[in-house]
Amino acid sequence: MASNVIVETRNLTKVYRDFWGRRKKTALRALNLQIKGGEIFGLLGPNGSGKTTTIKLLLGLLFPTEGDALVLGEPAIQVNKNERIGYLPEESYLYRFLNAEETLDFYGRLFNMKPTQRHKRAAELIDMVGLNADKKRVLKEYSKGMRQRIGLAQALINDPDLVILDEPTSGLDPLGTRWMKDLILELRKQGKTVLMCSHRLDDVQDVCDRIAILYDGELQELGEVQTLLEDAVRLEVRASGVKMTEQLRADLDSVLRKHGGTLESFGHPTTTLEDLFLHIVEESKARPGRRYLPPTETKKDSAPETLPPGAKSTSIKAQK
Amino acid sequence: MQLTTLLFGSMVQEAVPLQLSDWSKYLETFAQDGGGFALLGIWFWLLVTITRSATPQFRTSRGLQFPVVILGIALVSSALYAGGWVKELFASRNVGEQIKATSAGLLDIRSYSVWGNRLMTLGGVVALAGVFVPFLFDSRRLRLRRIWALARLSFIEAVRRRVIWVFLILLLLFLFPPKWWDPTIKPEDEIRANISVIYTAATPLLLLAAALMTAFSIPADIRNQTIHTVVTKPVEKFEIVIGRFIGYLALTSLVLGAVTGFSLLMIYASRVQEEAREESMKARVPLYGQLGFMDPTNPKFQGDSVGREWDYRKYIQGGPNSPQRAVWYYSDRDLDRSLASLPSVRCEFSFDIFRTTKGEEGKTLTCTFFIVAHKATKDVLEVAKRYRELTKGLSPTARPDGTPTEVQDWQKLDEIANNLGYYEYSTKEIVDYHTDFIPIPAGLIKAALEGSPGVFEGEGRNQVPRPRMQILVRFDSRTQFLGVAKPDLYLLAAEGPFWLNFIKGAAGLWLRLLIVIGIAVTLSTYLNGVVSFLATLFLVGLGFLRSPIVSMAFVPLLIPNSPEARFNPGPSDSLRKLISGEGLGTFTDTQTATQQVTQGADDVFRWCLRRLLNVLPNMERLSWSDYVGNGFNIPLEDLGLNFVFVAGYLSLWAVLGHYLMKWREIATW
Repeated sequence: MASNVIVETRNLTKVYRDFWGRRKKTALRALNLQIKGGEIFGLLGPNGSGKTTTIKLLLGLLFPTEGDALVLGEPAIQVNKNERIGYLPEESYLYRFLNAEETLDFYGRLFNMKPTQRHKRAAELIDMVGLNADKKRVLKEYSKGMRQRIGLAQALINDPDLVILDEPTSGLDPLGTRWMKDLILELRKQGKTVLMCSHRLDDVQDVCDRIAILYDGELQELGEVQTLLEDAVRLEVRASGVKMTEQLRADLDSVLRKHGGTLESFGHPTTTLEDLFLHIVEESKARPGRRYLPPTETKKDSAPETLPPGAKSTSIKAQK
Repeated sequence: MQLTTLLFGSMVQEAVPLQLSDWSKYLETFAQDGGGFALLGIWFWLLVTITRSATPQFRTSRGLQFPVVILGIALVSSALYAGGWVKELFASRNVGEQIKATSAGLLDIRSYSVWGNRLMTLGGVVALAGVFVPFLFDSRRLRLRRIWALARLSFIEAVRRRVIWVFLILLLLFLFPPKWWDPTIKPEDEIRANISVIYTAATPLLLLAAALMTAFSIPADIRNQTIHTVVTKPVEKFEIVIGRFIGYLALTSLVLGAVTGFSLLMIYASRVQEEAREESMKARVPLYGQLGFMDPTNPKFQGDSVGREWDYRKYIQGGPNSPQRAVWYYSDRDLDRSLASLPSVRCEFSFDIFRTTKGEEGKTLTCTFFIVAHKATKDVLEVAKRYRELTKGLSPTARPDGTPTEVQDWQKLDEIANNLGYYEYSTKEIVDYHTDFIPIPAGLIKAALEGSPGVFEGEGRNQVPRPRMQILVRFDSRTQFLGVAKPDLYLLAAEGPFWLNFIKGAAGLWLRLLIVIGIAVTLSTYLNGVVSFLATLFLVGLGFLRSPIVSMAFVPLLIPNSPEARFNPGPSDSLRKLISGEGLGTFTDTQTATQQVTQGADDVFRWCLRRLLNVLPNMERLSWSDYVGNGFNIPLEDLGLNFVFVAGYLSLWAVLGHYLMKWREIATW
């Protein structure tokens, strides 16, 4: 295993069997992949593709039928490696009779953390995930989003080198999702390696450096996000300071034809719904009296609504 | 001399207390029986591993797996067991010795062959090493702080789930003195009734609560997948098992402690009657001898049966000329040297009287006691004659705490007893099932403790030490029989405090809790909550019913070649008799082929029952409430050895739990 490789699987295969040992399903077939240190790696695939199986094999929750999995240089079934791993499961599987402080204290005790260190770390994490006001409430009173946050806090209690997140944004509202993504990026800045598994492709696209796509237990695609998503056949040009007119369109078409291409589309670019939502929420916080006004009620002399950045530029797409 | 109030402070002791001197037998039993199950487990594992690696559908690129070391251990152990069994089989054909019960309360089937026994013990040790060594190797990775964290979690969970509190509230109702609602309880029975109610209520409630909490804990963890967030920390799976065990044990121990403390408070606060105080609110430390019988006219006399179904006691015939005696032998280990420092030693007794006639009008039933030190046994008749001559004229009520004359006479008696090594107390009045006592001069005890009693000589009895002292009892009343059992007579060495004895009695319930929690947590590593709970109840329930199973499993072996053994009350032979129309209670000397087959089948059945007994916890033994209720000290030796027994029993369950957790995939549960 190369020195910078944090996770490596070699021919990793998992076949589920019934009580009598009969083959039920091949969940994973001969998976070969490497995750390097300091990157955010995304594991994608439809339901039943083997994403969760892969994660469980890496965590030692399952035993491989064939092949090997090495995590932080040790076999995945070794318990020692868990000292440097943090895991956030898809559902926040925490003890609902404990409150937030007790939860983090319990998990902290499972590592070699001194009491003062444990208490300090727990306080920091509770503050980081924004649960200070609710730290004395038992987890069964928490909402899904709050449970997800405390789940993340327990995953980070030991300041792990490798953080494994299974559907980290599941159940979170857009604000929470943004917060989670920012946190994941922050983890990378701290030099940690993040392995995340998600159905939400936009989230993966926003944060991941590399991704693997699984289907029916087999690796279908592996590579850097940017490279995989790049459409090498098309060209995109953005411009500002011009109005969208037929003349402009005709002129652009002429230029592109001169270079052997064709104009495919011509119009204003759109921002993402997430950005719009976040922008509106921030505006609402800044201006408490703000409310929606239908177009007929808008006064002619009223200041135009501030739009999210990039909303006024013009976008042209052309094909080579 | 008679007390103003006759006591009932006797105690039926069907299970003999454990003794440290029998440690080698206990270890042997553990090695052979535990090793047998270990060997079974090893063969099962080998079968599964080799079969899987050989079967195409399971085969991996690793190919055929042959765990050579484990296979070697299994083969060696099996060979040793087989060798031992063969030697036993050949030796048993020539057996003539009688089976005797050991102090373990187990029926010690005396080995027919010493080497056969040794081979089987060695086979057991090898098999146990095969499972324990890897277990101990894996245990090096266990960490107390993680176990403590998991135990703490279990404790908090159990407290917040409130299961235990419901049972505690129910139990509180039974902790108040029963005399408050039942005025018919006799004064002398007050403490006994109190103890009985406390333990009768506390036992099922606490055991049930413990089983409920424990059996559902790990399955709930698995169902809710909370175990995933634990196992993905640097936690050994077995730490989860131990943590759960310790957590629940801590909580139930606290509850038991509170119940014990509250009960004790209620007893002391409830103004106990004087009779009950005298009867039970103490902790007598008895010294028991070994019971035997003597009849010069019949050397094989072993006590008579009077036809009672409960054969706890044997009987001697009454009459001043009756040659039959019940004898309690006190050897070195039975006689405590501290007795010699007392002014006198109380010999307490409580016998059963079996009447064949109404008796003589106006005449009470009496016994005569002869206490003989070893130096007087060679010419006891001469010594007795001399004793009677020397004690003529002394007060018959001489005692160390009487009038000055009585005290003076007692001192003379003491000197005579010391010189002669003989003491006699004649026509002591006895009352059925009441405890009374006679004083024994300390001088006699000193004489018994002096010198060496020597050893028995003769074929088959070499080097068996002679007893230091014997207490012979003659029943003076004609046409009646006196029933005796070993605990019916004892020397009172000391009296301990009741409250300490009460706490020791609670230790019995604590040991039962240990077993229930241990079994439930192990079963829950593999089975779901409901099945674990029911399986625990089943095993523990059968553990309370060991006696009938023991009688079915061992009866024909107790007396080999006897009519009872040939009677063979097994299911196969009973079925044969039902089909053939024979009376179930009949037997014949000749054996047909069918009878031999059914006998063989019944032998297998009894072997299976004995294996079942190995699995069942001995819950019957773990109760000392009778000791507490009747005012007898619970021997620390017995308590300690039972703790060791329980630990040994649970160690095998622990190993099973360890391997079940180790080999299972958490995420597929």
